[in-house]
Amino acid sequence: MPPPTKVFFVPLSMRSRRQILVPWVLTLLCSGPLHGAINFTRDVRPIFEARCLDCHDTATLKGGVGLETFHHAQRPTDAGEPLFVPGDPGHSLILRVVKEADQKKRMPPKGPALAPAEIETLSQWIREGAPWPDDGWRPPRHWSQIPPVKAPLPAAGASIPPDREANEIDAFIAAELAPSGLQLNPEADPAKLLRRIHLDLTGLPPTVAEADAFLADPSHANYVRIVDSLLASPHFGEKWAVPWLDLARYADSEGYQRDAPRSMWPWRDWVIAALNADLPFDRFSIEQLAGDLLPGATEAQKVATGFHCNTPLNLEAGTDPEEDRYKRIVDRVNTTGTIWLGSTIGCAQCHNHKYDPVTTREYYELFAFFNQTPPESRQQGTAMGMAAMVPIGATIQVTRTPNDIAAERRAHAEFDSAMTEIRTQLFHNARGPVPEDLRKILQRGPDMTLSQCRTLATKLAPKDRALNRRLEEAEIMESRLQEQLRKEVRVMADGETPRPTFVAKRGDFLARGEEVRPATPASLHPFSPQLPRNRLGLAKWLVDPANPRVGRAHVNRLWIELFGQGLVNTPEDFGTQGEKPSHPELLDWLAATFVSDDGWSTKRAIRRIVLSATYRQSVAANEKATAIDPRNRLLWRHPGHRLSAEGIRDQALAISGLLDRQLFGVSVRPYQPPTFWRKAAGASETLYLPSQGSDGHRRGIYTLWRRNAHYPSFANFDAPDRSACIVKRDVSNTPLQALTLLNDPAHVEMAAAFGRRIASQGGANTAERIRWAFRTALTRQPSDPEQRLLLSAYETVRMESQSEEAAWREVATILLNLHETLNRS
Amino acid sequence: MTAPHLHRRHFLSRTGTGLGSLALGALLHRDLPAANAPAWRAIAPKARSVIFFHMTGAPSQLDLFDEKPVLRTYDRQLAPESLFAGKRFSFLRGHPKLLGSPYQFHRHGRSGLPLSELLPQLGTVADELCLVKSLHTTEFNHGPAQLFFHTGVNRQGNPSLGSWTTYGLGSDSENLPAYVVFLSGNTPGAGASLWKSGFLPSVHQGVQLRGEGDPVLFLNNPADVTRTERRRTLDHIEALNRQHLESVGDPEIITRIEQYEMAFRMQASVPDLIDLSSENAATRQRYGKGEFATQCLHARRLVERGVRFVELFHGDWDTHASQKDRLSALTKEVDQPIAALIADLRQRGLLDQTLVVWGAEFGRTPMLQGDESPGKCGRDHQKDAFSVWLAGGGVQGGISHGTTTELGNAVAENPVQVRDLHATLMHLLGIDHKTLTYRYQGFDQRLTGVEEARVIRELLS
Repeated sequence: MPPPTKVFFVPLSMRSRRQILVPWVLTLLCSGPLHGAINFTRDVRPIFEARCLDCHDTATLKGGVGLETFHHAQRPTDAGEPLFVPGDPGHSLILRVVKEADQKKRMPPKGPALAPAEIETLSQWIREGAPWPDDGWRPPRHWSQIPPVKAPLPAAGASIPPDREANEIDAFIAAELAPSGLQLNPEADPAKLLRRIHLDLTGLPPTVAEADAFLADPSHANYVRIVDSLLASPHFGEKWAVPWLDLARYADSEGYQRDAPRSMWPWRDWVIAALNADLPFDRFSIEQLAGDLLPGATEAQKVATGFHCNTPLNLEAGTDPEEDRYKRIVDRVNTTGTIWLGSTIGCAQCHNHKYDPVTTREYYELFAFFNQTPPESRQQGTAMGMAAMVPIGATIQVTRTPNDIAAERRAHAEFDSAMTEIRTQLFHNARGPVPEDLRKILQRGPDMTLSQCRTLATKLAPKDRALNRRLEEAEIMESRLQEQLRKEVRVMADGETPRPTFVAKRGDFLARGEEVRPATPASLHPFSPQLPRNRLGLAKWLVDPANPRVGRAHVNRLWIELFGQGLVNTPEDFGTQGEKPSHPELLDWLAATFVSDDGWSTKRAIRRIVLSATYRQSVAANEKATAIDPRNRLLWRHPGHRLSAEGIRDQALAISGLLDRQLFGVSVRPYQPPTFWRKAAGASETLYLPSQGSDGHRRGIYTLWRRNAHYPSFANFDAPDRSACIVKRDVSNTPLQALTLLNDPAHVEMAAAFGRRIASQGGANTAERIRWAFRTALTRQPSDPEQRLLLSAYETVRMESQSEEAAWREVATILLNLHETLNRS
Repeated sequence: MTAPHLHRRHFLSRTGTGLGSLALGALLHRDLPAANAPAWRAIAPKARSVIFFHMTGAPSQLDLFDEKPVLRTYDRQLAPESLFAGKRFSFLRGHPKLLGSPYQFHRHGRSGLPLSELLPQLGTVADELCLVKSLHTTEFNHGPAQLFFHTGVNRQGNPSLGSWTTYGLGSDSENLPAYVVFLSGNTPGAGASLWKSGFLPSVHQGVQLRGEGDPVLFLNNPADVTRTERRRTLDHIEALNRQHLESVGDPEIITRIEQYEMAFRMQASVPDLIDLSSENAATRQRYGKGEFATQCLHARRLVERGVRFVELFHGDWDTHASQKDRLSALTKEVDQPIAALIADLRQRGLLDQTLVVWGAEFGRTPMLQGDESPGKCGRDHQKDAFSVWLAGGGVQGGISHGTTTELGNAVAENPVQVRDLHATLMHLLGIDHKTLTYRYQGFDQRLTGVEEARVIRELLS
């Protein structure tokens, strides 16, 4: 006899479980005639059929309990408990519920209770090891679990006119359009197409000169050339990093109550550089998940692991560091599942679910891969007489670039000038008798440090609000300077001794269940025995070409960036609860091509999509197609969605001529209302000191991201606060957006600058300038009515205000607020 | 120059370009056909608006609502081991002592509801209050507990109560946001996540009305732009947008035009809201002075104007030390305005359709924290038992629900979970919390989550 208990639930994958179980069951069934032995088929199954299967058949599975098949019977219930423990009737749920005295809780709920003889049969059956012959039933495999293959291309048919430049993508799109009698829209007007491709690949609009060049040669070959040059632009990475930062929940603050500043920007720069270099997605993934574990890990590979350090960190005084560590690992497991498995596995943290491919136990087996990190915070010192928390996770200092050094010089100069001003003010305040100790400090003159100045100010000028404000500013400048000098980033690092991992019952980290070892879920592709059972092994398993989800999830996200909607419209969940793909064969073809032919190259995948006729078609709606496919799931037109929060800012900066195109570096603080950051309980740094000079005009990706109060004009355009992994941003259309574009001083400044630019660069006369302004904003030529409307706006304001500047500012404001400007059309 | 064959209904029914705008349509338009009424609105509503007070930091229920004579008897004696052994606290370590309340409790109104002497004004409306003394939560740190209290989840990234409410019911106001938030004192620790919409469309996030600068961020035109000039600019923008609409027929353009119009209306309606000159002197006097008092008066004006959910955060209740001075200062700030608001709502016939809720993320321990001297001592966080109260729309006044142990460290009878409270609030608004769902990550997400939540019928009138 095998060991009596728990054989059903040993911590092995389901495959290996079956290998052990089946021979054992067979042994049981075939071993000699036990006295009075229960025969499952003869004695037990009829009870289930008569009394249980109304609710617990394979179609219903009430409470996650299934008594129709071996497969379901051996799975834990939704509450996480096994139905029966072989050999141990006393601990078997099924016996407990049929014997329950309370009629309301007893099973079955309808009709009389089971007869004592029936209960005894079940009891005896369990005592004998609960043998249940494997009937071979397995859940049908979901499409997303079957590896994608490249289906043969459908015949294009009539949906693509022969004169159109089209590729494989279009064949799949056309095949879905044809049965509805629809076809692709005509190609977008060249100017609109040029604007679209510039905004999509770099996030910056084309100039009038670039438009002229394309209009002079709108050939396919020239379009391809432009696409290739944009893919090679250093601004490509700035545009495409944004959705990755949303997935990675990147921010410049810790989150929760303290929401203190943190230095993760070198990781953000790593992402931009990696995208620019087109680091293949498998390596891009491995380095971020486990770069530290690669042999001879380079500095860049360690920086990459900042990915999972982006998780919020609770530094509220009185926090239990172990509890927060547990929460951070939960977040890492869930984020990893969303990105690389296209699957919401978070529910399994607390309970089994009949739809989930991952059981609670398997969830903690995944958890075990990440559970090797030491605590990332601890109590240190006191605040208000109470222990304060400090971060203690691993960090590295990153080699500084000439760019960093130049930025540091600027920061230094800013700090020095503030200090000079403060010292001068203090000398001014120190006229008259001054105590000896202070006198000594003053004698240091230009060598007085900031903290000495603070001491002097406290004693000499406690009520001088301007001085104290200036000191506070200087303190912020100094801490920024330190941030520049340190160039520090948090990285992943496993502890030296392995930590055991336990199932946390109902998700409560204090309620320890059984111990588990790192393993991957049985319903997913196998974990190669060659792989180490650590984060590196997990990372390699996630980007194993046998993973049916990873390629699909990635190309679907690229598709969303380009079309505003996915081929799967629940990009965070490809599972049984997610939506079915609109074009399954296309999704699979793209995924398979991406992983095999294109060697995980994100740029090649994007290039393929933007060269398609589907991408290049116009956005125009027509009534017939709208009636047939109102949501445009079949893509009979380009969906032409709104720009992102950062996209709107970047475009307006470019149009206005204010944009500072500097890449990389410490996060900047563009203008925001001075009282927007309020003092928060237990929080640090409440004074928002805007960046000086052109740092106020950097691209949105470099804007300081504070989780508890993120840049308000971004929040108004649906940028998430980055507290958790977000796959697809919401796209709203609200009055606050109108107020932001019309009244946010940052946008008012851009409109004014654009107005001046129109006047100085726009051409020889008013009509030319209006045309130039329109093309600068929208690339295309204005129609006659549009030109007339703008001219009349200009004339009206000029007449009323007697100011040419005001009139051009009016034109600029109108153009920056047009629906078309805010959208890719 | 009107758009051919495209009007709002067309937009609502056909647009495929943005769920956000669809939701906005629901928010701004009461004239949705009845067939569109969502399944969760199957209950007759008692209240149509909510005023939700959150005292961030957690007030001491033992000094305000839940009187414990026994605790007073054993003041400054060592606590029984059962109160702390094997339990986790933020700061209490070793063998703590008990702290009796130094405040007298008095009975008020016909109901005789006992309230602390720190809340004399609230006593005048005691017969409106429905006190729940047996709430308990799962978190004992501010950030996670505030998130749990507002979203049902202890992490960031989930919709707040106010967002769920506007998602569930839409808006009755054409000119104001459906969900308005006020802060006074320090910002709550969990920050804007407490009024963010999480995975719901972002149109459901709370809009903060601010006391400094623009009342709504970016509401005011630049200093050199007059309202007439702004009107003219909007007309120009609209004319060009309509031109574009004619050529591409994208219904989202109509929404864009409407949003610019709503922004323009807000520029008038928000100043009108915050301008208190139309309130008579007696009313203003009744509410008292200070930022919070003004916000309470604004709250009444907001619900009068059909705003669905008004939330007022009042900061700094985290009295680990110097509880005596701080508690008396804090209660002075809130007692009169809140009592005035309830009386004012009653007088204007608004209280029956307005649900007022007062609470915090958790309560405070019967154990003393820090220096023992009466002026310096305080109390630590307590998750196992604390008090909240409700008033108005659909709840019984002058009652007290649930009890705690004689030392007040745990619930004795009728425990109420946070999700029970959420379910009850939704019920009073005519929403079935079980069917109020939003599909996200492949699941129908609920405010009250997957575990059982109970409408507390004992509170209902």
